[in-house]
Amino acid sequence: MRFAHLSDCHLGSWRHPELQELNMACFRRTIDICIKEKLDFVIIAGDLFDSPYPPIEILKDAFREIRKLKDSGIPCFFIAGSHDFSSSGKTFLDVLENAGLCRNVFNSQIREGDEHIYLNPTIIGDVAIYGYPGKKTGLDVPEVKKIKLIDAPGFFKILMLHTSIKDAIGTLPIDSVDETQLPHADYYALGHLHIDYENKNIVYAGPTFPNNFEEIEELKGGSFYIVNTLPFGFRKIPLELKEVVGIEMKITNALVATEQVLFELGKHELKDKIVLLRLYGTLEKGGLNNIDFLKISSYVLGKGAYCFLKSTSKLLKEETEIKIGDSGIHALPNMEEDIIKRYISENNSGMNKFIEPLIQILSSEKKEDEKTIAFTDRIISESKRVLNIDEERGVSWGGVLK
Amino acid sequence: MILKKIFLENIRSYEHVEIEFPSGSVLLSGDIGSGKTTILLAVEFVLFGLQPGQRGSSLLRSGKDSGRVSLEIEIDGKNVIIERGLERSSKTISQENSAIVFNGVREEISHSELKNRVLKLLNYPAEFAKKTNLLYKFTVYTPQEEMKQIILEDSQTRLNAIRHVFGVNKYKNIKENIAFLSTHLREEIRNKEGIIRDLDLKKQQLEERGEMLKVLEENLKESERVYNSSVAGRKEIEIVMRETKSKIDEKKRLEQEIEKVKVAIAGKKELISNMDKEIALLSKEIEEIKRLSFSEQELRRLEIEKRGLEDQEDNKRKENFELLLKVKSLKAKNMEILALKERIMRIQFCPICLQSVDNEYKKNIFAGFDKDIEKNALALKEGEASVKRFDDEMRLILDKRREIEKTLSEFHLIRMKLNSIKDKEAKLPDDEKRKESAVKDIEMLSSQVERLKDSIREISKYDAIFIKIEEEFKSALKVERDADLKRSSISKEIEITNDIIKEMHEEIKKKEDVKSLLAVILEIYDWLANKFSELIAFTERNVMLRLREEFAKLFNEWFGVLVPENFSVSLDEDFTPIIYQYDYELEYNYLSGGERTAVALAYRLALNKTINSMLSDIKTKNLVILDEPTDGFSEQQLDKMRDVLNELNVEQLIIVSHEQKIESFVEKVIRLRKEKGASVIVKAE
Repeated sequence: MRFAHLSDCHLGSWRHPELQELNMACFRRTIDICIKEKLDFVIIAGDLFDSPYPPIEILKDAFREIRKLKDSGIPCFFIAGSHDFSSSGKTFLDVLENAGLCRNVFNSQIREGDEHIYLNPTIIGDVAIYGYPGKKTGLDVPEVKKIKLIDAPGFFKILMLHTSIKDAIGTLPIDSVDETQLPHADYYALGHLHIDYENKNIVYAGPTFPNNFEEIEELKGGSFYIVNTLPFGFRKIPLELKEVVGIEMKITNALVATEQVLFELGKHELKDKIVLLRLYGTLEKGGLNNIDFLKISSYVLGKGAYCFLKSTSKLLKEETEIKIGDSGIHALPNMEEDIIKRYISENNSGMNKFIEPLIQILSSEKKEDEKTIAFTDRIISESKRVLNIDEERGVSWGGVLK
Repeated sequence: MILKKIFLENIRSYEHVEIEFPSGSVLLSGDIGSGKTTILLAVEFVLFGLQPGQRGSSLLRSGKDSGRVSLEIEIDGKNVIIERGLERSSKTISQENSAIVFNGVREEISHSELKNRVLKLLNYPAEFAKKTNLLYKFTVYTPQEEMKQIILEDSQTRLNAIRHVFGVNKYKNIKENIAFLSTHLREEIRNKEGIIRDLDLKKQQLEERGEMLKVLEENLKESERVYNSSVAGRKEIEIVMRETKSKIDEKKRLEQEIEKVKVAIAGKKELISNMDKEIALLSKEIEEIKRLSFSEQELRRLEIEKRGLEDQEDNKRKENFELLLKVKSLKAKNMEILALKERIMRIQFCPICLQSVDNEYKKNIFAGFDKDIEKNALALKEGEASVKRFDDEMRLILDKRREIEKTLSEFHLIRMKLNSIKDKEAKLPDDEKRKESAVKDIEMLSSQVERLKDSIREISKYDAIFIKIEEEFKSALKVERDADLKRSSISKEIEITNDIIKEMHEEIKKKEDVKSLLAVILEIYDWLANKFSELIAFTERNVMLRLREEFAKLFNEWFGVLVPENFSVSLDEDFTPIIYQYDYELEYNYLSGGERTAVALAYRLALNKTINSMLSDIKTKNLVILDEPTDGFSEQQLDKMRDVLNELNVEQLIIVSHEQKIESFVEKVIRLRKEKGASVIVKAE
């Protein structure tokens, strides 16, 4: 029999409409391939959806695609993943199953006095499918370690898991399952880790679409596997839809950053590409608002880019020029006082004596029943009085320059 | 501020309900429309009155004419009761019956006054007296529909609101007012520059004037000299002229003398002719007198005759006088008799013997009387005839005397003429003598005339000389006057120049003053435009930076609790939230409903916490009201709310929610339900 092994579709995870659309397009393409290849069935190793309650439009699209499988006579089996799992059982996966569109293969039994979790198989043709769902924050790992399979002799056994295996995580400091300790199966259909991993009969199918920007840049696209039971064999089906142009730039002067970015972008072919712009660094001049992202975005989209995303979270404004206190928020007047004191101590000038009274006067606001002209007159005359340049009241400006 | 108790009467879905609030966390629970939000609106209303744009009809229960909210709160350990009512009039619904009970004293005050009092109690800036109370809205109670509004607001509006809330709006004001002041100063600078633009020119002009003055003073000296010499010249001529003039005067005098002598000659000639006439007349008179006749005897005779006539006259007059007297007495006697007769006629009794007087007796008496009268009349007639005779005799005597007198006077005249002839004869030789001397005089005077004429001839050359000198004098005088004119015109010019120089000095002094002031203003202007503006911007930047850092940190923390880990948030300079998914920016619109609520809630709570920790004297910092804060939340997010609420850690937390799950997060639940169209509190089971 031939079947498709997919996982980590994370439908609904992207909020950027273009990427959401790409994500869905990859899923659609996967389904189309399955139908075209006339596969016998499809298994989804967790995280079909990004959350137990995906947005309606995601559900609509997802249901339509899975329905296509049913219409083509291709059964679909799944387990819940860490994202679409719900401890309360309230997840849209149940809706899918109850609608008869696919089937959750997680079917376990616990025996008294036995700490193991016994999984029952779901049979399709000569294939027995076992599955155990993923849980949040690696809660699945200790449970997976307890799995035992209710034997189905003569069947081609598939164990579907949404977890991390020791061999695949490398040096990542996360809990994992030693793959050698897993119960025997003919094919281990794994999900959860978004990686390119195949080891004998242990395969991470990879996400059908990269689930974050690192993945976009690393995996360049999604993938799934088509597996043949007899003779046993599999092949990876890459789902590369759009090329990615990733640009990282260190920015220190926001005032000229727009030009710098445009210049850099000019070096690349952007047409129909996913353009990722990552700005980082510490701004010495100007602020984030001085970078004209609208202009940059127009430029990129004008060059025919498929979509444009930017990251500025690592672009920091230079540290406070004056550090006030060490932590916590001070009352505003104190803060102001501190700043002005500091300023005066660093800028010796005869004008400094005007600072406080002038702030006092100039901070006043037009009163409700005050005419604008009366207000400005008031501000001006009071300021001039404070500045000793009020000719009408007698000028005593002789001393100002000294 | 802690809410203790609220009483609502005819407010929206409430007819008559009192609710007590415990401190700690309390949930107002109930189905949609059960009256949860009404309680929050009522709290806001009783504290601050109707908000700008809020209509009384949105609060007053429909069909009711009046409604009322009374709220008991605790501020700094003191209980305060605030009351506010709504009254429906024909067209509008107005706020009425506002009152405050403070320290147990109830005061009825106007609704706007009440608002001011509440603001003061809560230590809110007074500026919120007349506008929407952003501070309350952002930090205590944000109506549910307005939560996301804060996020969606255009950045400038939000920033303005946040500036207000943080109280850093003043820097914006300062910047605007610096602009006003700068514009004004720039104008002033331009004016003053205009005023001093010609200062150098003026100074140069002053110098030129000074030079001019020197020249004028030189000129004046010269013209003084010219003048003085011309005066001297004129005076010399004047002396000569005066001398010449005296000659001419002498001549005139001589001429007058001649005239006088001539007059004297004419007088003498007249005298001679008069003498001639008189001599002839005298001679003639003498001859005529010598021809008259005169007798002295005749004269004496006439005089004696005249004296005899005069004596006759006197005698006659005496006689006549006596006669007249006699006539008069006769007439009087008759009158007396007639009067007596009349009296007796009337008497009937004798006045002495009182016997009757009869007519007979009377007749006898009257007969005697008539006899007397007749005798008297005869004498009278005789007397009157004598008087008439006298008159005729008298007339004859008088005529004769007059004739004698006339002749007498003719005699007297002739005798007088005869007597004067001697004088006349004696006068003739005198006249002759006088005539002769007059002739001699004439001769002498004529020779005198000749002498005088000679003298005149001698000095008449001075006429011509005088005319010449006079000419010279006139021209000298003209020269002098010209010199004087020139001198005084130069003096005048110097005077004017001095005035001008003085004015110029003053003007330059003023301009110099303006210049110094301008230098000061320029310095101030520059300082304002650069240093001061920088300082303000710097202060604001630092204040805002500090606030934003704190705010962003809290915002991200709260947000992180509520959404999956691949999301994060930060704030840009305008306090606009930036949402990241996997570190790439994500538009708010792309978020799910629950995520949006999470952003808004996190923003609101972060703002709340930032303000409360900064504006430490705001009295509402211990109260937070959340209205349906979990709208669109997933089950998981709802679970997270417990952590959020725990972290909020405020003295009083009031949550409005229809979410059952929240009930387990709070200490107390107030259940609301609608019964027969009115909200009621469900009694605790």
